[in-house]
Amino acid sequence: MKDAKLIIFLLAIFTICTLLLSFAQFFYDKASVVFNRRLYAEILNLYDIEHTFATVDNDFAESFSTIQTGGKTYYISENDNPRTIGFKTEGAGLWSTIEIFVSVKIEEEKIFGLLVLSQGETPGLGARISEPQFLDTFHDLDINPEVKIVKFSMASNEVDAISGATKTSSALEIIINKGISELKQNLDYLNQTIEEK
Amino acid sequence: MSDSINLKVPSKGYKLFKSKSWVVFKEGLWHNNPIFGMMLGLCSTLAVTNLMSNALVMSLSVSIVLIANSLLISMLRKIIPEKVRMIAYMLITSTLVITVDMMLRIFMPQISKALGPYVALIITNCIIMGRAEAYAINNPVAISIVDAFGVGMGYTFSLMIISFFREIIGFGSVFGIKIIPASIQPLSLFTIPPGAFFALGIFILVINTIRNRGKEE
Repeated sequence: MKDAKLIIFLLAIFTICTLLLSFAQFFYDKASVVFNRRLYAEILNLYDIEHTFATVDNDFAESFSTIQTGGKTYYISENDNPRTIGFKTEGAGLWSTIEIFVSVKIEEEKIFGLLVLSQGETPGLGARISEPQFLDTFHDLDINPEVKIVKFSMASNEVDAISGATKTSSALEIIINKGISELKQNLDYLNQTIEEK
Repeated sequence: MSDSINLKVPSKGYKLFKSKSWVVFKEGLWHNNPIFGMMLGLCSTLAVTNLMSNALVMSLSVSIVLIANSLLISMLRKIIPEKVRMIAYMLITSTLVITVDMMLRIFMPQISKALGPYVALIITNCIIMGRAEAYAINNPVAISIVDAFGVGMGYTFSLMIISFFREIIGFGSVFGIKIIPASIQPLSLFTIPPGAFFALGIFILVINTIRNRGKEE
């Protein structure tokens, strides 16, 4: 009899908590559209495309098409000059997960632009990877054989690291190269899909 | 954690300060403050006090979960079987924490990112479990809420003081607004985890010196 009461109590509390959490998850999924909006707004800024936050979904759909493959979403610009493919990728920094958006000029095999979406590196040192002065140096950077972040940039595939943030810089280098090598693997499929459209 | 709850009723003062609620509230805020009294929840304290805004959001989240948790457990105290009370605490706390975490992610994405896993880890925060086991399970609803509010405010108070000093020394700012001129180099030791140990240690030393003043006589 005592055990029965125990089991009924546990079943009841499990059911109530699960129901409440399902409701919470339902509303969270509805609200999570705003996450995509924030990303779209940042990408449109990178391409200097005018947009307003209220109509960002439409503005984005006009300028980009999306293809999903290999567990990643690729954003292909409708503008052919230059033709670019962008993607979001992330990896471990020194203290935090660094989330970046890279867009690559496909024909020239160069980087079009780089965005740091989120990071929690050392303020004043590693955190400076989000500053435009640093991100601008990636513009027109060769992606072959791979991107390098070095002390003194000499070759066309190298940029200057941030002094005092060697670990963060090399983590960022690994994250970018990982994303680009994934893009290269998926490139045939992407080109095929674009032509079919 | 429960052994040190001995209510001292003050002998003089206004009526409010003689009431049981005030004694219970002050107990959590000062005598049994979670940080420097009970020494609970220190891990998340070390992690989130680098900026005042992070510390404020974290301590308010903990306080909200704490109050709601005490309310629910106190309400259910007569029907929770003793054998499974821990499971009941965990289920209620998890439900509350996951909801708070989702709300933070939607409404304060920047701060939610900065706090990282520590919001979700409120589930295992000993303050919540401690108050449920030591107070809410044995006491009526109203006084349990007062107790949770006192402990929550005690936590907020401690975190705000620690993060104030860490931010002003480490970044030269208060709530992100620059106070110290840029010509003075901030001591960035205080922004990183090792600095948190120094800040917490000094804070506990100073506050316990004040607390114990006059006790030896």
